[in-house]
Amino acid sequence: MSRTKPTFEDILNDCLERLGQGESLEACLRRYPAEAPELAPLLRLALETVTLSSSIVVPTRVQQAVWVRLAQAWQGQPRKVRQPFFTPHLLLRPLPAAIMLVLALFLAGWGTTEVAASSLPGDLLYPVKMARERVEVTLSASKENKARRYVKQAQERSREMEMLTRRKTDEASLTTLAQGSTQKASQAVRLMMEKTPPAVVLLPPPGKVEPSWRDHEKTRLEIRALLLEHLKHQAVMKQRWLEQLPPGQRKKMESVFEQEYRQLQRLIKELEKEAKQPERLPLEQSPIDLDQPGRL
Amino acid sequence: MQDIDDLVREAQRGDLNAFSLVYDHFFPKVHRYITLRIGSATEAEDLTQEVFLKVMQALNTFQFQGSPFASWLFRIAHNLVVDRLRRKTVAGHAIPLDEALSLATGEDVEGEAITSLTMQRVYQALGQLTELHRQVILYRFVAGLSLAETASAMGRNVNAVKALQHSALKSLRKALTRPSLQVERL
Repeated sequence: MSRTKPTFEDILNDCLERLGQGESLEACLRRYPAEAPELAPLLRLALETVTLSSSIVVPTRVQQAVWVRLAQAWQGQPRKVRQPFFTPHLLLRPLPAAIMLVLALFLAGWGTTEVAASSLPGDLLYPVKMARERVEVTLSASKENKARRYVKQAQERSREMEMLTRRKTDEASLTTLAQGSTQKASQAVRLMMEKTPPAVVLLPPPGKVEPSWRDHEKTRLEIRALLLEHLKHQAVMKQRWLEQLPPGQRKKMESVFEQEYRQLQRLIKELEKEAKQPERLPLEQSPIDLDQPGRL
Repeated sequence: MQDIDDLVREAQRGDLNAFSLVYDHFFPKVHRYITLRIGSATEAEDLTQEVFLKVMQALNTFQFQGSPFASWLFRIAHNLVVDRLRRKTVAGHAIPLDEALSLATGEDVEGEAITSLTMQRVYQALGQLTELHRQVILYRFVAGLSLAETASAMGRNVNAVKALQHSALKSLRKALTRPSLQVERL
């Protein structure tokens, strides 16, 4: 069966597709010598139009400013239908109005940090996200909660790596994130391995487990499980991240990932060592000077 | 780079990061398309923002059923442009291209002047084309849509777009070679 002869429109389109894939104009013309005289000026014009239009740029600050507005609007997108908790006439009363104003100001600030929560390194709001993470750790009441926060932040660094590899990114940003993730995991482990026994005087009689120490041990196992999960995730994702990188960067990043992976393994092993309950010390060795209450 | 369709699906599930990647990918294309339709840098920025707001609000209504996401997005952009032009155009006079357009020409002042002049002339020549010819040139060579995406955005079949592409390039060439619109390098 003979193939239908391509029309000039087909030939023109074929050349345009080839030019788009990087073939030169001359090579395209050589493919179709009979049509070359008619093709050449049209292809040149198409190329010039592409080149010319690519010189129209949108200033980065404009693109970022639009994104900030969009991201805020994204947060405000209706997700769930909720019952209204106030009626407009409440705003006419002085006290509710004042409370609403304070609340609105608070939410506006919090809204920004909520938007920042999904930002990535290099984004305008990323420093806000970092600040928020520090505040979250500081505000965590117990050592156990702080450790949980650190694990969550380690996981967040991995998620950021995943998002960054979808964009065109450089190995320096990925290295920083990989190291940042391990550092957060290490902070969590350090907190869980710290021997901070309750005051000696509060220790239970020998042979009995002090309740707060039992909770500490429970959290240690929880953190270990979370980090193991994190380690498994890293192992699965590592290959995917590497595949997204340009071939020239893969080898170096592979060694960075490997190093961080081993470090995380070491940290988990540390958590596996069962911590000993602080020993009951004789009163004379007590770290608390009983004669001077309040001084260590 | 992950497939745009995957990112759109993730964005539809509420992933803001996925939407940011879709935004990064399409923002310059939509901006260029609108700039050469509207002619004003400020209005193009404003309208590009409006396009993405609409896209975001209607994202969950987009369905992957044959129509590429890019076509859907550019149909939104096209409708907004048409609305804006309807309000803006006075007695059929063409709107001049904004001289304050941001052009990526580095530090080369002379190069910038030539590019700006060429841009003005291409913009004027585009204004002399029929709506269909203008659309196909802008979708294919300014926004960088594929033939299939262009066909879907214009509601035509691929062969019809191939024919339009040919006649549009010929018309543009003719418009540019008119004495009042002669352009260096084109």
